[in-house]
Amino acid sequence: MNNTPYQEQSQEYDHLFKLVLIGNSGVGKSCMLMRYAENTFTQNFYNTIGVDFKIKTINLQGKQIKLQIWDTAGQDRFKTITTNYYRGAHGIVVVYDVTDRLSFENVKTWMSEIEKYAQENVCKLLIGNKSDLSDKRTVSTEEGQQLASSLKIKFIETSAKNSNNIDSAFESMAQDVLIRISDIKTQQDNERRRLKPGVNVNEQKSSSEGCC
Amino acid sequence: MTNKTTKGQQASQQKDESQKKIDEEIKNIKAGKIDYKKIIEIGRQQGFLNEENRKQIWPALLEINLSQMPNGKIMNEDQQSKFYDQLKKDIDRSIAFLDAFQNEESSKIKKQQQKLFRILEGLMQKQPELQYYQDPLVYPLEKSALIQLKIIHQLVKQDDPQIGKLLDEIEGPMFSISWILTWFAHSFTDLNKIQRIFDFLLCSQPQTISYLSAALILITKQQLQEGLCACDDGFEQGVIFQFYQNDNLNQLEIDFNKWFQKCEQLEKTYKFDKLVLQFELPKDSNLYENQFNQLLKYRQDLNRKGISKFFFYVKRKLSNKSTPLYLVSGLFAYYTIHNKSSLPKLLQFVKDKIPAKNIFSIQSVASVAAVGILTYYTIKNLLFNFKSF
Repeated sequence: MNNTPYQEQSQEYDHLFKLVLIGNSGVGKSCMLMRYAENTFTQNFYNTIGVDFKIKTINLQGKQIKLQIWDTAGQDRFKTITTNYYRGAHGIVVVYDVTDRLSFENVKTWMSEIEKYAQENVCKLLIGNKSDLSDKRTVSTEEGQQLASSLKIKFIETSAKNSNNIDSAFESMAQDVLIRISDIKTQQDNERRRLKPGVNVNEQKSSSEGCC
Repeated sequence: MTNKTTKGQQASQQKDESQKKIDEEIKNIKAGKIDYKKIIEIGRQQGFLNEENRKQIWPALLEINLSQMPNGKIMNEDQQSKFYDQLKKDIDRSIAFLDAFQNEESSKIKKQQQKLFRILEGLMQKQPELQYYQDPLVYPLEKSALIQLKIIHQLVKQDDPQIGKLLDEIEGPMFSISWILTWFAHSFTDLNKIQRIFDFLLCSQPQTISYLSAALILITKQQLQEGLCACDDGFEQGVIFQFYQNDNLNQLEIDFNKWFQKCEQLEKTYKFDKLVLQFELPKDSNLYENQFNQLLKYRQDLNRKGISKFFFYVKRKLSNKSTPLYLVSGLFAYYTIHNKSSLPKLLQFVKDKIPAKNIFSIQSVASVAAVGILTYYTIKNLLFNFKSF
């Protein structure tokens, strides 16, 4: 009982990042997260209903970063629920399945959902999962690359099954968020100099909108 | 040693008794005389114990005549429902996570999954108006599960303001959504537990799943609070979510008796018809339909029990001269309308219940009801802010 992941949360950390996984049903979002957070993989994984959640603490540039990762149900009908989680996200990962053409074609739809519901400056990453299934592949790496560059976001192919690129995908996302946060912080520090001391500038929005 | 055997004997004796009760009801079912009241009592208090029993009792509760069922062939091979692809994806992710299938050969799991697929796809073909949410449902989320989430939230809030406040902070018990949609079948990996929950819920009102969900939150609050103490600020949402997520829920040692008792207590303390007055219930929501349109006989029976109780109350008030007539008749009418039972139906019911020689005649009941309906409509806006009427 004492070793449940639930109990391991009292560690110190420097940053808390909220990440959200989105993409069509069955592309392997939950399996990616299981692989990343618990380093396990099962073919017999259950489907996600609504949202699931995992935590992972990593060290990046000497900083303890706690990743709070929300795993959403891919089915359309859950969108009423899942889009609520876009709002507070620092980073959103759009996942498709390289053996499922439709899930790739739907990436654009998912991107427009991000436009609609997420913060403007949210970090984005495109992932083509199930890269281990080379004989069933219907979306080439080049196509994925092309789409990502046309959307101006980073791209990586992963396999939750053999662990390929899973860690680096999430770390790259965390890295981007860290850079963005530092940018905002510098901006806030500059702003703070112009404001009276004691004014709360912790919230990104209030800092950019100013207090007067 | 001796102590152990007596304990064991006691347990098996108890099991025999429980089975005896069930045998009795199965006998009745086979004879076509279903005693819903007894079955409901057994289902809620002890459950139906094993699959053999459930095979007899569940169909009886759901008014399914097994002899009239098509022989496992409800799916048409040449046809595809609009949920065909989603079902295919989900079927591969079903069943296998149950404890009972952990060491099973994959071919056997596949076979079971295929069976389930044929049933679900067949159902979707036959009933195109159904919506499939990784669990078949008639209503879209906004008109069903999301309202039920609010009810869970409200119940917790009323019973334990502190935990209620926690739920406020995380914008409601979103983690309960799979509980509502799957009756906990998605949460537990032990099939026995799932079946026990189904026994309980099949013998309850449709809204009981909300009470059961709230009860689970309330009986586990101590463990939850311990977890929250150890956590950093601003992280409550994550901690609570993780606490109620499947992997942790399966590890918690939940006392089912305690859980169901808490549920029953909530049902008694926070009556559903009063509770829903606090919400705007869309008329086309499943809760509205469930409340006013009981489709299954045994649930109608549960409602009728309510009517006779109320009728007893009215009778007592009537014989007490100091109670204003309009108040009594207003209450009477309120109940009639609230339960959507038409007046003739209600009168017939009254006629059946009250012997002819009783103090007042059916006509007087009718006139009381008529006055009451008028009164009711006049003062309803003052009394109840219930916009769905």
